[in-house]
Amino acid sequence: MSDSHLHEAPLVPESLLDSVSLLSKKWHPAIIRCLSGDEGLGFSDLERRLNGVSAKVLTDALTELQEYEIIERTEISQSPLRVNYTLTERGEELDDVIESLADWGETHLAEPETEQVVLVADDNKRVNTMHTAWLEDEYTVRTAKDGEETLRSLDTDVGVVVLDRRMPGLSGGEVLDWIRSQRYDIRVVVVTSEDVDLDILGMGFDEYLTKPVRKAELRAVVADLFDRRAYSAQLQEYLALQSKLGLLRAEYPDDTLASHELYQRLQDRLDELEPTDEEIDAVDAETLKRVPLGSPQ
Amino acid sequence: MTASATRTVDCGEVAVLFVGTPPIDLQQTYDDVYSDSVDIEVVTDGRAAIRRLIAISESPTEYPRPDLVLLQCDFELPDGMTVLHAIKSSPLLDTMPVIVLDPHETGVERTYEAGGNAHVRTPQTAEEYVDLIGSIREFWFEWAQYPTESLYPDKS
Repeated sequence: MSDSHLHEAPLVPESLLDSVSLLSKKWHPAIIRCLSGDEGLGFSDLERRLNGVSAKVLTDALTELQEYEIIERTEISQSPLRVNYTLTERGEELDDVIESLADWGETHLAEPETEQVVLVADDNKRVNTMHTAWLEDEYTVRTAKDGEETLRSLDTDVGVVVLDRRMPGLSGGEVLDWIRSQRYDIRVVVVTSEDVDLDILGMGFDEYLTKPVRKAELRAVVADLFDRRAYSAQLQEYLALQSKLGLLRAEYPDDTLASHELYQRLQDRLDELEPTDEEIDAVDAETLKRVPLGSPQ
Repeated sequence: MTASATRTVDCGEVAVLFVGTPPIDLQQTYDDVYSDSVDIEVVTDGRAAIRRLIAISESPTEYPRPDLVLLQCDFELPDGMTVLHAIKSSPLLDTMPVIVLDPHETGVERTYEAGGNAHVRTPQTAEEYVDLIGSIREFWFEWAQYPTESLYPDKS
């Protein structure tokens, strides 16, 4: 098959075309996979495994594969006639190639298991467009220009909401209260141009970013929040609380916070939620970089 | 948890949430005509309705869940559709029946597309309101069955 004119090897050698042509036949790879790592199979076993193949097509395919010396036909008994098909050595090698192809297809061609939907809500059109553009290569992005439109765009397909805190009409805080009160399984990052204040104690966000938000920062937070969806509700709450209390500790002196009743309650709640070392080990490293874990005092 | 109850007029207090601005005192009108106990709560706009529904969801013992929502919906404004969509997409409240009252009859398809349970023309006069309330009472509280406590599986 290969010729001896080595001085100018063709870009697609004949040998490759031949292999591809062999593998492109519908039943050939399937037959090879069936015979893989087995004691071999009889004709009727193959027919059963290859659901939908006709006896005629299977006979032709087996004959062709024998001609290529990919499979071997052994007669076990003459009367009644019983034959067994097994892979030859070159057949085994081809089976490895087919397995790699299948893996490649699973990685690159298979539809992602579930579509990941992000809802971006901001009354500033420019910010909205920018945040959407930063995320839409990776996620399905819905965009809302105020609190009302956010509620109209919300459903159980949404995984993460990027939520402006101050919007006319229904505010970001009210939208957040709605999401939490309706038990949506949605992680929320609040985005705001305001400084951290004590009002955030009562807000049920998972993360909090101060504007202007950088592209890498937003993408990292959204990816992190999708990861968190896989964690237990308890661990999600723990990470959200750590994030919130961490923000406040960075902004306010300890005694101001200590005298605040809600802060104390949340601190107690945090202690209740304290995850085990194994749970912490399972948390993504990116998340741990963002959320300052460990005891506050 | 999965038990559903027949909600009839003999079965305790019925709560109705009215979203909009009725031209008459609905509670008074109802009580004048019917002797059974129906509590009609009025909130005037979509934002107030959302706030109310948040309170209902967070403190169901303090704020009884409405057995029925009557939603005045002007389809020129996004307000009513926001409330309808919010309820019907909610994992918690999606089974709550919502009847849309539309002054223009322009929103029939949108009402049903968004999961509204019925679309009716907004009554124009006090008499029409009384008629409508009577029909709704008979159909929804005497004939129809719909889920009750099962809406709060984790709050029992």
